[in-house]
Amino acid sequence: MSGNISETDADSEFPSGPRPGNRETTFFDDPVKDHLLRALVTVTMELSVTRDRLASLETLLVDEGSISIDILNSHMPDLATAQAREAERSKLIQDVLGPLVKRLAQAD
Amino acid sequence: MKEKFGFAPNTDEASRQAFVASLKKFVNFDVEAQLADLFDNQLVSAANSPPANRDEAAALLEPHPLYQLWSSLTFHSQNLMWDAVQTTTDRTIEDQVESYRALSQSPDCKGSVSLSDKLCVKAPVATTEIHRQPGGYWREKRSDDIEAALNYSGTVDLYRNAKGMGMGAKPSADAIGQFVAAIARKYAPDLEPRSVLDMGCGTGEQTLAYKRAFPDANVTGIDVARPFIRFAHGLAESEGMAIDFAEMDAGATAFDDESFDLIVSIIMFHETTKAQVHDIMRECWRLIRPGGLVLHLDVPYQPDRMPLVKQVTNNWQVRHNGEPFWSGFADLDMKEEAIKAGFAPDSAFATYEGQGPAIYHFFGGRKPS
Repeated sequence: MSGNISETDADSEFPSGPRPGNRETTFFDDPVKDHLLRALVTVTMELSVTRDRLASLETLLVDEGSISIDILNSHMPDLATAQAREAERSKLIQDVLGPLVKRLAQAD
Repeated sequence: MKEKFGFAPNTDEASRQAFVASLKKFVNFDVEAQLADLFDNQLVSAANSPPANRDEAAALLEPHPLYQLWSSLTFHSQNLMWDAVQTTTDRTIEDQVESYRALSQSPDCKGSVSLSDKLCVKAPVATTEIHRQPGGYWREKRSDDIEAALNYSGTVDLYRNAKGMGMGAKPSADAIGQFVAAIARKYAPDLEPRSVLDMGCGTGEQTLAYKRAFPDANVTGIDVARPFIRFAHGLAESEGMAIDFAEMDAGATAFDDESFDLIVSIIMFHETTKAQVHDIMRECWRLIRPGGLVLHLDVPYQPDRMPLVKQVTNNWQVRHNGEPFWSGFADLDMKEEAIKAGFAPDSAFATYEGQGPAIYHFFGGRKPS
């Protein structure tokens, strides 16, 4: 570990800041608004990531002649694939809404 | 096969990090512009008397839903940023530590790394998670750890984009160090430094710029955060550059008097304290050779340059984003601090210089030849 850690500094009086590890400070009159906003932003981020990946995938596959856009647009998954995707969807919903449910279930 | 040394996101991780940068840019520019418009054209005119200072401006802004939205988005964008870079770090850290060991133990090593068990890390770096980086700068999780620096280095590009600096041609990784070197040449055109000290060198990315700008000079980087000093050493070695790094406090170094011709730092001072500012400036005066230049860069948020609404949002960073000395630093007269440290009034300076859309505060002085 690094040498010694000084917890105080005689000439420094810092304004109160976030405690280490604080990830849940809220700013709206109703904290639910903060959590819903954050859930929405996180979902938007994952949508953006997915769009980027799909665009890369389609470009590569079309460029290499592996697929045509028409076939891709009419494709339907088989049963096993559909079930796997359902599990992924459930996990996504849990990831998005789970933290909100968990936070609201906690006593303040 | 070891990965290339440094932060290396895969496709999805890079997309996620790019999103966070875009989100931060939206909050920093679009939402803050709306906030300024709201303040100037609605809140001030509706107030009984115009706000005279930051606290009065904050009292007008804080109850408004748009300010609360800005606060919540800014806070969450920081959470998302650290989550996004941590994913890359978690996937790559063991290979990166192996790469560091291989580089630092190689017989072809050109520079050096020196660690000190006697170093005392001071507040706020010791006590605050600066920028709310989980674990802060100095904590270690494993032998030869570089994790804190790897995480931090993943945010550098992201911050550049968030500050509107990612437009057009992508700047080189050491662009800000090149900028400091150019300002050094502008302020001291006759100076050909034989030795350069980079204080608070962090990941060392910018330290490389000084070696590139002054290839014949001995370049040394110091920092109090051990994972960063290791990372900086690994980065320099991976680039084949002879730079010495040491775990050292800029306010109490182990160097002899008058050891350097050029002493620089980049955004270090606002992560210290008033007492440390005095110590560091005095140390600069002690270490600089006659004819040498001390040149520090930091944030340009001095209150006389900032509209009230920006002072309020900057102070929010102090309270909620792990920037405890941001406002305290901005309140200091750094030319006066240089003079107190020993520099003559006609050689001490505190100025502003621009690089693209960004403006930086420069301060320091020259010691007479």
